[in-house]
Amino acid sequence: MYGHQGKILHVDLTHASAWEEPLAEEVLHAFIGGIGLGTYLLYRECPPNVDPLGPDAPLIFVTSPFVATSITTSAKYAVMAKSPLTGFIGDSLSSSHLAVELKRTGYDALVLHGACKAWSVLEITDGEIALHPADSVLGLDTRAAEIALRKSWPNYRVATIGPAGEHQVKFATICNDGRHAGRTGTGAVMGSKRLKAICVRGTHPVRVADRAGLREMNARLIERSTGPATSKYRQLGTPANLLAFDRLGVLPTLNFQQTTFDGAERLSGEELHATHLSKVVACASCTVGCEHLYRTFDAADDAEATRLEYETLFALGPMLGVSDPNAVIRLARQCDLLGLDTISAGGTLAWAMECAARGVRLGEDEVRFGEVDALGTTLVAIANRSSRLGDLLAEGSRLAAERTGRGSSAWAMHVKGLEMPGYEPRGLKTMALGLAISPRGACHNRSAAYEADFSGAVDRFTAEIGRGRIAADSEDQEAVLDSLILCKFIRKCFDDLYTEAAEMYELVTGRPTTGDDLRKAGERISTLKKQFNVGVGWTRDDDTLPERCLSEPLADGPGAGERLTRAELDLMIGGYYAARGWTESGLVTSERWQALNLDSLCAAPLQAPQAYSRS
Amino acid sequence: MTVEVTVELLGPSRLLSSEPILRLDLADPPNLHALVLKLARRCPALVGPVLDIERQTLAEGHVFNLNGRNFLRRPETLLTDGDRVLVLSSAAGG
Repeated sequence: MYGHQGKILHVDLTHASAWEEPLAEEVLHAFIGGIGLGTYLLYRECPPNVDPLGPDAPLIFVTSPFVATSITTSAKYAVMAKSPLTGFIGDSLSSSHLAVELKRTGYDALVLHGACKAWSVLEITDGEIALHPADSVLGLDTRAAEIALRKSWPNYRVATIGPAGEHQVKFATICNDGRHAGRTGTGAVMGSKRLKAICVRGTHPVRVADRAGLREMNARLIERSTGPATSKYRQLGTPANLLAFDRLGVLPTLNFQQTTFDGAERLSGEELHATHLSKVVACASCTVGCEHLYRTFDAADDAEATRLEYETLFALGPMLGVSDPNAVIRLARQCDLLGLDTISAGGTLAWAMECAARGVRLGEDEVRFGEVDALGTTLVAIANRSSRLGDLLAEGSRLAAERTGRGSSAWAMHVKGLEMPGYEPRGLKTMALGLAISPRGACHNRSAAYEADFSGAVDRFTAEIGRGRIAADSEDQEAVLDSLILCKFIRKCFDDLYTEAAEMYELVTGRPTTGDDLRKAGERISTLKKQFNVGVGWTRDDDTLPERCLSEPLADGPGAGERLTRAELDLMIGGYYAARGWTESGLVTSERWQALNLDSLCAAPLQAPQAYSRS
Repeated sequence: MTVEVTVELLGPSRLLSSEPILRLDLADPPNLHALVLKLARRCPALVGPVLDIERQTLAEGHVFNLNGRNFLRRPETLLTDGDRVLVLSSAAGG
């Protein structure tokens, strides 16, 4: 088989045993790899009513046909689980050397079942597995654990959780090579299995059908990946968004109470580049090199370089009213070491700050907008669940608000339990729809609906039924990118993404593939994600936005006074369901299920759709 | 008759100029073509990476925004006195 390895490695952590399962070519080509194949496996392996943190909940790592080939930006893997934060589909991507090593073990996916009897490290050497006591690394932060484990296993790559994962913080990450599978709490799932880390070593080659053809096509892609389409990412990284979003009035500030931030200049990517940049690095197999590392300049730890992305910058800066770059860099570093998703950490802290501002006490400790002193210790308390406040915030903003009551759910800024990314939906109405309907919750990575708003192709302050088609197409495109897997930062490097990606897929796998095949695969993957959610209890009411976004006008900036009403959002959601061919209440129809071959691909579905019809 | 507009450079364009915010007088017709030519004279380093002088518009990878609200797709768009034009990267994600 070319591209794919054609099999899965299952590991039963309870009994320290493993087995292989061949994967049908039909399944591989229908779901491609990455998030697509992961969605198929999760749908198949995860019982609908399972406790996400119970032993029966699987944790799945998936590579893709492009991993370990020469294709630029392809060294990525997906992690899948039922999310403990949302209760819906949980998926996350991470990059770099671990992805390549996983693929070289000879498998397309690793499915973890059960839970270790005691804290363990899972060693995988090609098809052989062994569980080792994790005593020596338990309690260590992500970096210290990775360094220690790579001393014991020098030729291995490591995925590890930090203290947050060990304590099952609902937004804990899985870290590898200094990068994180950040969103939806897969680190908590790993912690629930008492699995501190996975050490991976593979020696199997990855076969490519047309190596010369791929080399030629990849050379063209590499050339474009270093051109104008990626100049922002190469020169400034994603922190370049912050000042632009401020000027456009879409920078969420003080828990989405403002859209501009007084400290935006100070925290901007442009200013950080001038004053705090330490170095720029790239993931394995990447020719873009977007990763900007920054130093602090005010304390003993100044030599440490810390990765900052826009999402981290927004969540730990403007959202919390913090404008000191040193403080934000330090908080970002702490989140990385503790294994906390920075977006959810910032969103949950911002909720707690608004509680304090409104006189809702959460315990002995308090955090307040603009006050950085308590934030470091609060992050540690969250990761270790070591105080009343920390334990509450470790649940994420939705559950914390439900437990707190006193109207505090009104300022818990999440969708389906996942904290909002740094895009103000009232000023980006296509993105508002993308956030509301995303299966994994408020997410800027599974939908790029904001592209329409930022391009001028639509009026970003107007809600229209036609945004439904834009959002659906965007989701499908992102699903394909997340399954091949290619970095989204090169999506503008294609003249025709589907056609060129299909050509590349064919060169790798040898299977004749058209752009329409990939487009259909994207819809298939999006549909199966939705159906997973339906199986675990999704209802129409889950496709919505935080109350604030639907009841309060924008307070400042160029969009001051603009609103997004519930009727406008419902109009767009209706347009989205119609574009998908779903029922008016958002259920997948049996016609679409069959048209996408999901009836045969998921022959024994755990949660097949009932015979719904749009008519 | 001329109109005075303010131009703010953001993202990669800001790295190329010592002046992030510029005030420009545009002669008739005060459109984006005129703005590009004026900007090129004030900040020659922008020519090529940011400004496409031949087409009198922005180079690939950049976009104009007017007053923080509308993204401008037509270079013939007329500007009015007091307008604030942003020069942004067209890569929106991250």
